[in-house]
Amino acid sequence: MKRTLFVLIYFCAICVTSAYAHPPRDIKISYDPSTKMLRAVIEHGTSNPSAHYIKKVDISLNGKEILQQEISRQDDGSSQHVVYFIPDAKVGDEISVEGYCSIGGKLKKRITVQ
Amino acid sequence: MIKTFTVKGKLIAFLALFTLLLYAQGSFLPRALFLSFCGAAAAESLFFFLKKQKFSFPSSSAISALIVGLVIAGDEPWWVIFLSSLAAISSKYLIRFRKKHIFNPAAFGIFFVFILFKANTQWSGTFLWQILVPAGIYFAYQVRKIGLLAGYFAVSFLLFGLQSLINNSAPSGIFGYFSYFYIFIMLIEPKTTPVKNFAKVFFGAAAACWIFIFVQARAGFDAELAALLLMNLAVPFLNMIPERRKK
Repeated sequence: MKRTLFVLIYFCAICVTSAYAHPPRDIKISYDPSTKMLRAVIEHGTSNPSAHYIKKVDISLNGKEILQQEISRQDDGSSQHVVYFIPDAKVGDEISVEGYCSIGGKLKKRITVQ
Repeated sequence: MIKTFTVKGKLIAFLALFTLLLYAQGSFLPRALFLSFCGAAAAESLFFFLKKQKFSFPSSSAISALIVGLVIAGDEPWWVIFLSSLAAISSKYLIRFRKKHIFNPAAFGIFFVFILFKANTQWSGTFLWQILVPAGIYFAYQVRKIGLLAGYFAVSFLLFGLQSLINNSAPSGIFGYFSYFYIFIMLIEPKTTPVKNFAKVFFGAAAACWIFIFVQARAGFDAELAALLLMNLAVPFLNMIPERRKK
C-alpha cells in the first residue's frame, strides 16, 4: 500500500514539466530602445485568473522605482503581459520588473539596456 | 548537536545544498539566510538558557532558520527577516499544548511578520520539482507522512483540477498550484502534524481545502502558510481520534 502511494505521488509530481507555484515562475523582459517600450511577460499559472493573479507590478530604473501598477485580474491562466513607455532608459541602464502574486510570493528580474 | 545520519541531519544537509544551488543560480540572497540564522540563534539561546542555564543551537532550529531564509523575500528589511526567525523559534517555546509546540515554527514566523508588517514571501527554489519531489518523498517516507501527501494531492487535484476545467485553463494548470517546497519540506514537518494514519490523510486533505477556500476568497495573505497553521491548530484534536484496529 505504502509503495503504491509512494509511486503514485511520485508519478503525479514528476509528470509536471511546467510546474509553477504562487510566486511568478519567470519574468521575460524586453526593451526596445527605438520605441522606448518595455515589455514583460510574467509567467504565473492559475486555475482562476480572477481570484489568483498578479496583483502588482513594480518597474525600477537603475534601482529606483519609477512605476507601479496594481492589477485586479490576470490575462489568462498562464501569464500576465505588461507594456510600459520608459523614455528615460539609456544604453547600459538596468531595468527591473517585479511581479507580486495576489496570494503570496513575488519575483524580480532585471535586464540591461543594450 | 546535529547528527549527520538522523532524518534531521539529512534534511539540514539537503537544505544547505539546495541553498547553495540557488545561490549558484543567482536566485537567492544569502543575506536572508544570515539574518534568519541570527534571529533563530538569538531566540534559541535565550529560551535554552532560561530553561537549562546553558547555550545551544538544536538542529531543529537550524531547519527553521533555513526554511525562513528560503521562503521570506530576501529584500525585506533586515529586522523583518530577523524578527520572523525570532518569532519562529519563540513559538516553539511559548505556544505549546501537552509539552509539544503547536505551530510549524517557520510558517508561524513568516506569517507573523506578514500580519504585522505585510512582509512578502519569495519561495526560493519552489519550482525545482526535479530536486524537491524525490527528496521530499524520501523525507516524507522517513517521517511516515506519505498518507498526508496523498490526502493533499488528492484534494488539490480534485478542487483545482475541476476549477481549471470550468475556467478552460490549460491542463497543466491543474499542477500549477503545487508549491513543491511547501508540500515536500514544510507540510510534512513531523512534530506539528498528526501521528495517526487517518488523521494524516485528513490533515493533508483539509490543508488543500483551506488553500482552495483562501484562494477563492481572494485572501490577501499567503494561503498555504495560513492553511498549514490552521491545520496545526487541529492536530491535538486529530490525535485524539481513536483509530480502528486491524482484525
